[in-house]
Amino acid sequence: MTQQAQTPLRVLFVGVKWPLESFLARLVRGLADRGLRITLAAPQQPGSDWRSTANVDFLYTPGWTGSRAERLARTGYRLGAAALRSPADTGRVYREATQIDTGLSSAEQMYRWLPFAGWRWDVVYFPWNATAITYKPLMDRAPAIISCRGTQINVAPHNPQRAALREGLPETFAKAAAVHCVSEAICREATLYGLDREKSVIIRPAVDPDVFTPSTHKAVSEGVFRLVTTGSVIWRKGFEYALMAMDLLRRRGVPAHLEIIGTGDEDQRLLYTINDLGLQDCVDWLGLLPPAEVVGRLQQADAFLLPSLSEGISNAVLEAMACGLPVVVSDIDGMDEAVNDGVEGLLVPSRDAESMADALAYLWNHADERERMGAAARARILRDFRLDDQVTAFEQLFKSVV
Amino acid sequence: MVVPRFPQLPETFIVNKFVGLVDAGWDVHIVCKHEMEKNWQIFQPLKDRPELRRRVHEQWPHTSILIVMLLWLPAFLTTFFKAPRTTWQYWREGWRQFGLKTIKQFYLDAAIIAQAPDILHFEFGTLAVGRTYLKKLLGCCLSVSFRGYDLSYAGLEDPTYYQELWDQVDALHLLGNDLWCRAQTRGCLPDKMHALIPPAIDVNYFTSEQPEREPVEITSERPRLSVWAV
Repeated sequence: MTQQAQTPLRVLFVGVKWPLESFLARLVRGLADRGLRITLAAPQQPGSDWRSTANVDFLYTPGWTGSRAERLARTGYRLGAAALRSPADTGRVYREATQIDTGLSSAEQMYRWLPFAGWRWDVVYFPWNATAITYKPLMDRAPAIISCRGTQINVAPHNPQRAALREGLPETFAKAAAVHCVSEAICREATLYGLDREKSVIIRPAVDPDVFTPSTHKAVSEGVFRLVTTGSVIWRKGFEYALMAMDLLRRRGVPAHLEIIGTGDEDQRLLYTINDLGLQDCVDWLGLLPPAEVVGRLQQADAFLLPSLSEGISNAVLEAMACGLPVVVSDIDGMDEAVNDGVEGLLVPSRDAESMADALAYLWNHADERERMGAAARARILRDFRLDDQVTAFEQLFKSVV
Repeated sequence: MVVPRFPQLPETFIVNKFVGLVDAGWDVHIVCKHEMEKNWQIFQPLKDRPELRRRVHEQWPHTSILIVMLLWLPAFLTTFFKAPRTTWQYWREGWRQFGLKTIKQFYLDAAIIAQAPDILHFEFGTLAVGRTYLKKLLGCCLSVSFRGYDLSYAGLEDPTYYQELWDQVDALHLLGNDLWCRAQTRGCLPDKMHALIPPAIDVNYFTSEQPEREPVEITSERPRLSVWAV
C-alpha cells in the first residue's frame, strides 16, 4: 500500500452553513464514512449531532458582522492566532488581502482569510461559486474544485447587483482543478462564463433510496387526489403557479389537495395567494418539517408537483421519485435529465398553470398511469441517482485532482 | 395617531391627514417610534409650519435594557407631570391587568399616556395588534385605519390575529369596500362602526398640464413608451 493510500485525503469544504443542506450533509457523511478527512468551514458552530462525527473537523469562521470596534477586535485576535500558527502564511494573507480584489474591503478579506492560515488540506472544495470568489486565495494553496449547482449560474449572473459574482466566475473557473456541475444544462450555462468543458465533471444530485422508500401501507385516498410539493418559499420555486393550477383543478371538479412543505422569504406571498384564490380548503401550507415527516408526507401522496422557474436538478423531485411518486415538473434547466416526459412523470412548460393543471388532471384520471410512472420513477432513482454512486463519484473526483 | 415613523416619504397621506385635521381644529398628536427629522423639510406643509413639531412625540428609547433603566424614572415623572389623571388610571387598571409587567409596559406606552387622548388611532391595523388594552387603561376610544397589507396578508397564519382588535375597537377606517369585505372575512362583525374613506390627492399639485413639454418626436419605427409605476 502506498503512503498516499494510507494517509486520509484531507478535504476542506469552504463556506457551508449550519444546519447543512440535506444534500451536503449526506455527501459529507458519505465521504467521511469512506475515510476522507473533511473540514467544514462555517460561520456558525456545528450542531451537537455533528460534533462527534468521525473524520469530520470544524473551522469556525464567524462573519464580518457587529460594530466597527467588534470587528477590529476580532480581526486582531485572528491575526494573533494566525501568526502563532504560521507567521509565513499570515504574511501571505496580509499581502493577498491588500492586493486581490474580490469586491470586499481589504480589511474584510483579511478577516475572512486569516482562519485558514497555517492549516493544510489536499483539496479545497467550494460547494458554491460565490464562496470560491470570496475565498479566491485558497485556490492557490491546494487543488480546488468548485460546484455549479443552479442559481449562481442560472440566475445570479443576470442580477446587476451581483456583478462581482459574474466577473469572478471566469477567473475561478480558470484556477479550479476541476468543476463539478449538477447537470448537463448547468454545465452548458457555465461555459458562457468561461468554464472549459474539459474541466467539468457532471455528478448529478442523488438520494438515499433506503431512506426515501415507497410506502408499504399507503392510506386510502377516499376520492382525494393528494399532491405534495417541497422547497423554500422563494420566487424561484414558482409556488404561485402551483396555486393557480390548484384553482383551475378545483374549477374542473378535480378533488385535488396540495401540501406545501417549506418556508422562506415569500411566506406572506404564499399565504396571501392561498387566501386570495380561496384555496384554504384544498391547500395546506405546513412550513418546515423534520426530514422523517417529509418522507412520511411523500409516501402518503399520490403525485409530486415541482412548479419551479429555475433549478439545477431538484433534489426534492428525486426524493419524491425515490418514494415511488409520479412527478409533474417544470421543464426547466436540467430537469429533463432526471424526468423523461411520460415515463417517470410529466414535464410541463414553466409559468404555465394551465398545462400544470392538465397534467395533474391526467394523472388523476389515469390511476394506472400514476402507478406505472411511480414505479418507473423509483427504478430510475435506483439506476441513476443513488447516493452511494454520487459519493463514489465525488471521492474519485477529489482523488483525481491531488 | 400612532405610526411607526414620521414623516416618511412613502406615507405622504399621513402627513396630509395630520395637517388637515389640525387645520380643521382637531387637537391631533402623533406618537411614533422614530421622528425622521431630515424628512421634515421635504414636506411643504410641514416645512412651512415648524410649530407642528410640538405635536410629534417619539417613544422613549428602548434599544437596550441599560437605557430603559436609566430613563424609566424621567419617563415616569414627565408623563405624570403632563397627564396625572391618565397616568394614575393607567397604573390602577394596568396593575390589575398586568401586575408587575405594568412597570415595563408603562415605559413603552409613556409617550401615548402623556397625550391623555380621547381617541387613540392606529394608522395601520398591525400596529394595534396586542395594544388594544390601551383603550381600557387610558379610558379612551379606539379607532384603526386599515390600508391594505394589514388585511390582505398580515397575520393570515393565525386565524385569531385580529380577534381582540375586533372586540375592542370602536370604529374602523378602511380605504374601500374590498377591505371592508376582507375585514368581515377575517372576523369583524358587520355592524361594527366603520367609514370607507378612499385615498385622496392634491389635484392642484398632480396636474396633467405640462406646458413646457416639447412635442414627442418619433425617431424610429418602434417609439418607446415609458410607463411609470409609483
